[in-house]
Amino acid sequence: MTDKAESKDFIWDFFTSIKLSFVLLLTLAGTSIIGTIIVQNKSHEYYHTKFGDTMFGDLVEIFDKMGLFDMYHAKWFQFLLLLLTINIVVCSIDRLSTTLRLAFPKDRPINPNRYRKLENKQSFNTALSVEQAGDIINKTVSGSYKIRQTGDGFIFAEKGGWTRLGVYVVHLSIVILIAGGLMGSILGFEGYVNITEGDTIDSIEIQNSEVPKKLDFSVKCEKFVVDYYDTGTVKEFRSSLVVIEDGKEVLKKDIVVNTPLRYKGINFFQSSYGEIPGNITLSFTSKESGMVYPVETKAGETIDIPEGLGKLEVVDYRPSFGFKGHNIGPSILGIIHRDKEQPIYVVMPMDPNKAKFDFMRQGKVAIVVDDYQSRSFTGLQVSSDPGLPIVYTSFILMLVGFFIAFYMSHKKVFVEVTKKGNSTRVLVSGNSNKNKIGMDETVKMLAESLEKKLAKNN
Amino acid sequence: MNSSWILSKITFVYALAGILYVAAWNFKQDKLTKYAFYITAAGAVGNIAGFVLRWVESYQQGIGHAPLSNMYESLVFFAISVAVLYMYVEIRYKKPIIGAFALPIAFLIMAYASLSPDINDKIQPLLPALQSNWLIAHVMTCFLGYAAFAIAFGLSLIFFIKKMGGVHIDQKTSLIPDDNILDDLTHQMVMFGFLFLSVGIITGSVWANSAWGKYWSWDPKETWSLITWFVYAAFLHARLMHGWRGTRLAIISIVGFCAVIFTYFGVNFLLSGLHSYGS
Repeated sequence: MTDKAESKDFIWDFFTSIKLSFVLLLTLAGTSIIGTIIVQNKSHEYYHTKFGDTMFGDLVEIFDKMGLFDMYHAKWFQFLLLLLTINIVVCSIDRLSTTLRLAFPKDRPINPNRYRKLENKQSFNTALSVEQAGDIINKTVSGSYKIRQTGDGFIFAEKGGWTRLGVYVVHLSIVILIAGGLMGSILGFEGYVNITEGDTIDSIEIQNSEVPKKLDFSVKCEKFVVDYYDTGTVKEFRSSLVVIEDGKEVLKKDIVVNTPLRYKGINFFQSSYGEIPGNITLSFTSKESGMVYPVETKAGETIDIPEGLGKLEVVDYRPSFGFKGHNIGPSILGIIHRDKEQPIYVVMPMDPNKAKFDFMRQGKVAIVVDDYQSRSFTGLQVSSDPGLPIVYTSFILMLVGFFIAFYMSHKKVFVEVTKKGNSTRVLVSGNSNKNKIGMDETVKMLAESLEKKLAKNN
Repeated sequence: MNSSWILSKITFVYALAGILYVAAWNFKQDKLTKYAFYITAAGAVGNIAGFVLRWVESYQQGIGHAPLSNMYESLVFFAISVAVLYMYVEIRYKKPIIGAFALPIAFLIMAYASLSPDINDKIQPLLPALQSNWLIAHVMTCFLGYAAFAIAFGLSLIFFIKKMGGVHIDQKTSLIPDDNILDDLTHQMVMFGFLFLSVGIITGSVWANSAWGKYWSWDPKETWSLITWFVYAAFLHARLMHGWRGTRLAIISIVGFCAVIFTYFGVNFLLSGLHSYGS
């Protein structure tokens, strides 16, 4: 044998080793734990703050290099999956010919002695002659079994040889599953988009990418509604979406959490929502002069406060705000800046019943929110996965395969008729490739049904 | 009288059945197991009745849904699965001593559901993400699988107790299954569990795809269910291909059940992720 052939054999032997599958399965199980303990796919800063003060502080960089922050996509983890796939394929090929030989045996005579000694053998006597009994038995058995061998006073029959292939169906399904997953990760994409009520978008943000993805059509959000149960918990998020293509409305659909919009292989899922702050009308009341000044502004702007009382930075709109332990409802937050003074933080509740709120601050100016216009936006998860039909096919195949592999077996039965004194003795026994207890029952039932049949024909 | 009341009483029924099974084993009283079986059956009927009643009550409250939506409800269904599956095993294999392990598990599940202050037994409206027909298929298949693994775990414990000399093999009672039956039964349970765990993961994937647009996102719950799957896959391969039996196989079965427990409780209480309905 040449060196090349030897190394080829070595590789083949390595991958056909059942030890490899066992070790790989447990290694995958063990390593998978890491990614459930370390929160995945966060920013670098997150890991530094999280681990900085712990004993792992110095290890953040090493963890990062090992891909532990996105471990299920790390090269070493995918390499393990690849090894498992190769292992499954090679093992299956290696064993297939043996299995086929066992499943569909060529006429190889059996050893009747072996079956005469099986533990599950059943026997009974009949008054019929050996020939008569043999005929009836032959007919009955061939009803549900394929007769393989008819020997000297005995028959040997079997069924379900093909069920030995169940495990190959399972292995094939796993390979298809991995192929489907791979296809999805190469050809598919995952992204998200926020659409403000009334707005239309034609591109989406892609995960881990700076460049937005342009769509062949646009999507308009006509309305976004949140429904609540009486208890105050959310019952439903509903976005009314319209797909527009070439200027025409082609599809209209209300989506909620479990019913996405699907169009041209791209799916839109309800995933979040929020509000975009719009115009804010504030009025400033000067304590000194008593004058009231209405001013229009937006979050993020800094505006002059009349009478030279400084500047107001409009920081943020909050849908609810806790002040000294009380929820004062939707509020606008701001900071008053004046030369040579510490910045003053102000909270401006929008509830008209709390219009006097800022007066309690006892400042030089009191601010009241007169009007606030916000628009809701719906947050949609967008995905496309051309591998999905393949993955779903593999799911079905896998379950069918499990059922065959676990609950169906290759059954062989042996029935012998011999003359014993004045009567005829019938012996029934059998074996199967799995589920011994089930097979013992099958033998018992076959014996009982044969006994009944023979008695009826007596 | 409401479903929670009934279910809290079932805890004691299972406890009684468990005690009888243990007593039958310790005092070698085969007859006791007959009563233990009837009590188990009564417990299972009551458990199912409580489950159905809770379903009805949710409709009466105007928030009707299958009672499979939070930790309490899943525990109740888990206990039903363990009790019913165990009864099947006893009828089929006639080895009632397994009840000395299965019933305490059913008891612990119901005791935890009814007594733990962390578990809320109020009927709550369904969150948007749970409003799907996949809820029933997903939760039921997962817990049937878990129940089978629980019984396999009990069988492995019997194996170890036997091994450590806790049981004298030469005793006359037929209560203790011999190694072959123990092995076959564990294998049957692991196959059943593995099939149902697979259906559970698959229905979960299909559901996730319709709710979030991804059939798999390596969320801790998903990952742990896969870890469990890997461990039991290793079990099946070790048995069928390596011909492993006995101690080594029992160890894998126990490790597998630890993974089940972590998938069920550990992920909910210790890790964060998408699957936070249970807590």
